[in-house]
Amino acid sequence: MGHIRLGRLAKTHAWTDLVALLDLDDLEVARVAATTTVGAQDRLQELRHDPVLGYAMWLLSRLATAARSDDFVGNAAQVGLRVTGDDSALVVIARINALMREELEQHPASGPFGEIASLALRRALLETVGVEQPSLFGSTLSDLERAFRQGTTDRAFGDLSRRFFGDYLARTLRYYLDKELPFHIGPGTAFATIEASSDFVDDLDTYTRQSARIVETFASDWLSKYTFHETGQISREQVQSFVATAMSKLCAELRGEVVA
Amino acid sequence: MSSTTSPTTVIIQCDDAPIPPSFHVPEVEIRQIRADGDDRDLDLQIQDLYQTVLTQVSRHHQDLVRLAAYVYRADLLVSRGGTRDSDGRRWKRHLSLCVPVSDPAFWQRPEVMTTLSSVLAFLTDDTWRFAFSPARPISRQIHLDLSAREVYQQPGVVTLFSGGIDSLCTLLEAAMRGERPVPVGRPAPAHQHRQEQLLSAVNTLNASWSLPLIGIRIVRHGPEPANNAQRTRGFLFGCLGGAIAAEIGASRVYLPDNGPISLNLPINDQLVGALASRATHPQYLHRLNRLLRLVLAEPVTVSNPLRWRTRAETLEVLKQAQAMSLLPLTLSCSNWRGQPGAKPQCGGCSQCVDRRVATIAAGLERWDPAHRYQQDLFLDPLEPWDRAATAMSYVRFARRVHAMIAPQVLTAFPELIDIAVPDDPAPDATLRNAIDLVDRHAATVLEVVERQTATHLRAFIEGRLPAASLLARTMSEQKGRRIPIQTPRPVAERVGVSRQLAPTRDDAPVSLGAADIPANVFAWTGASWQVSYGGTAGVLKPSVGLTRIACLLREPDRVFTPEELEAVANGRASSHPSVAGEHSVFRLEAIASNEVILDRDMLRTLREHLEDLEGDRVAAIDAGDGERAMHLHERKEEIERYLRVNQKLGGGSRTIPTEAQKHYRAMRRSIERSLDGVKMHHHLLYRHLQQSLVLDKSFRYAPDRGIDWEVQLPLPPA
Repeated sequence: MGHIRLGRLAKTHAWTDLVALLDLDDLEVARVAATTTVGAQDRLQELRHDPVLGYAMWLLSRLATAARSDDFVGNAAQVGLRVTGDDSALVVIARINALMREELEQHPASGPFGEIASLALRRALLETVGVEQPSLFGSTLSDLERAFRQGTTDRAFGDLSRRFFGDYLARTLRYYLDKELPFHIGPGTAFATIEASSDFVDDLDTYTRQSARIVETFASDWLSKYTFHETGQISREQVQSFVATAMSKLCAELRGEVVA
Repeated sequence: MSSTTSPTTVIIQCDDAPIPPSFHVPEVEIRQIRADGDDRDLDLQIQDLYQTVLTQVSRHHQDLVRLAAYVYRADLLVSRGGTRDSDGRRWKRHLSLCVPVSDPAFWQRPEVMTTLSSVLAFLTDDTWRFAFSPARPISRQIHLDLSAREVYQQPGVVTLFSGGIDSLCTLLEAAMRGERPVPVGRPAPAHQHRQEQLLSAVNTLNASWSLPLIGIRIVRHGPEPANNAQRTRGFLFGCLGGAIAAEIGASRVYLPDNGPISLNLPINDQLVGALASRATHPQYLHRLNRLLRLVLAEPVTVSNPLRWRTRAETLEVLKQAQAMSLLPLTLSCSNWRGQPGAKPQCGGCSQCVDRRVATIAAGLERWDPAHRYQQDLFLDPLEPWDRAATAMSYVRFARRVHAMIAPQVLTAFPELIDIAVPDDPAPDATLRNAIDLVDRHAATVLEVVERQTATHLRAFIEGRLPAASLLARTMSEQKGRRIPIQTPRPVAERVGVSRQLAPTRDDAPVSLGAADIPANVFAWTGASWQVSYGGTAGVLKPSVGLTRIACLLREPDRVFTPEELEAVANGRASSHPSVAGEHSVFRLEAIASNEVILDRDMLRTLREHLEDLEGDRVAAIDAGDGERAMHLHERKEEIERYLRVNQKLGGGSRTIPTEAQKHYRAMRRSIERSLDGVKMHHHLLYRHLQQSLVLDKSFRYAPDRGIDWEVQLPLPPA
């Protein structure tokens, strides 16, 4: 019981670059982010079309639009979410998580990144509620709806996308980095102490989430081009296409490339 | 263009059960499992070591046990990829099992199939499909030792007994409470004697109920397993426990794991999903119970009695029972095979790490001394690579959690949402309790590390601690070498990363002719810093810390706040904190950022308030005002929880760094780290800066005499 299974980075040229980078004296977060993104680029390219990632973003989008309608409960039911007005925000998030988990369990090809998408969805929801409430605990469904209604539809969608993709990429980079980072901690290494390595990872996280601003603007513009909000329906195909482009932009940003 | 890799897809045919046409896809692999016949590769025997036998086992119970055994064997058969599968392409598998059962119509009911797949999906991360067909008569029997019968006298609970700390404490506590526990164990031959000693000792402590161990033997034949993760063990033991409980009339099954292990939050960021095992996770137990309600003839509930206790807290059971001497007989290690009797624990697996910390925290080191471990967690070099990663991740996780307040923990670890199961009447409270549990665990870990640090500080100072030891990595004198985050640059070089990253070890400063050395220069050349001081020139590698130092040199005696220095260094006129980051938007985080140290006055005030609340609560009860009494009780719990979070075990106060403090510390570290670099290349300049830079809550360059610097800062990004 309590077993964990740790792994290492594959011995590819790209990952060797990351290992070498972690041996340098002056470590820049941006370079580590770029190098890790390059190392994972094959997988990230595939994940642009990952159905679990697409589903998570679709679910988030539909719930956000449901919250802006007059009948959240009814509109949420259309995506399979059963809630009542008495439910706490955390219960609602738990039920959304259950929906996500059902989808996740149908797509083993996503590997660990399906779970990462699920975690990013939860975090985006928690953060959305957390912005508006002094405490997540005790927040209600109404609080969640109110939080979703902040700002215009397009801006709110942009903000939500930024949170979601920022967390998704942050977790993805950390997933890879943590296969190597512990071996660069100690006297005479890049991170003299465990605390120093922790601080670095926090900074990497912040950097990645800030980089996701590039998705925010794109998301707002993308939403404004569609008239679905008149009907309240965003299709999974539409969102999957959006996800593919958003991922491309964010990965390019992390690699430090000029983003069109 | 990359291609998508499909997950490993295998059909597993159990004892020649037919494969339905719907399972067949081109090129799918088919594997065999045999539990019958001379060429069987799986033996499942339920033995009663005390000569009690189970007969006329319910056919659904038999089916369940055999199914669980097949699932377990299938899990071991199919590889999940090796340690270098960094993309995780092979971790998840698509497994289709063809299983012979006595009642296919029952097992093929949609509700049963869906529930069964759901249990295994959460437990293993795999996708499971089943096809059931009629079993041959001979294969319906579970191999039993036919011995004299003995009737169990109203057993209360079946408890899985592995011989580890958690299962021992659970058994002991159940016995002391009069729950009439029946231990079910799987003693490996090498450890059977150890388990017998433990049971004998527990029997001695509690003579009112003799513990009839039901032993399970699962024997594999053939080659070594392709997969050692064994995530289905929890399913095997849960089903076995449930079936046995239903047969002997017990209504409960205990699967013991201390709370933090049960939740198994990722201590390392690569531990996504079931890469951290979920054998007693609340979500798994909830799903398992749904299955057992469908299958078992009698109602049985599987639970984890230790779910709200840390391992250190669990060990209190041994103290209460005056049974500390049993601790050496327990075994927690996952690498126990081949270990000598005197050192049965490897010292480096996650179970050993947690055990070692817990026994120290509980004050039981005398019964679990370091010399019983192959490797001293704190003092020995951490080897091989997985033990180093485990130990450091364990401590890092504790630091990370302990620095957060509850909403931050939940946001950082949304895995916690999985513990909110559908029939939980108070999910918010459950989540809060879980966060509190994890924080207590984190506090315990950090206190143990602190104590070990204090004990071995002299050894560290005298250089006697190996650099690769855990303690050396927590108390190095060197500052961390990293550059805090920078605002993402919109444009970067489009060259291959590999060329950019070729490590450069040429640290020799550029020498200028004596006539050309200007006085007091700190100038950015576009690729490095050209410095000159006291008649000596040098070149320094780029770092943000040096940019900040340059800003200070440019304006001697000006006091910079962290925000101001950050802004100036980034070429902005207005201050803009860059370390806090966009994700720090919770109002509660803002409140937390204003939380001050829980000082003595505040502690005293809170304790006095607790006493008042207790007085009011008792008065409310006396007055028959139950609602008010409950409200006061909840208020008390809230304050007590707050005190636990903010106090160390010894009663001292704990600090939570504010966002401003974190920002300041990050800035200061960047400057100090850069000074380390200066020291290596320009000692004279280093001494001057060390004496002249004031880095106390704010930043200032305060030379003791007027110095004119020629400072050239980098141009800000476009």
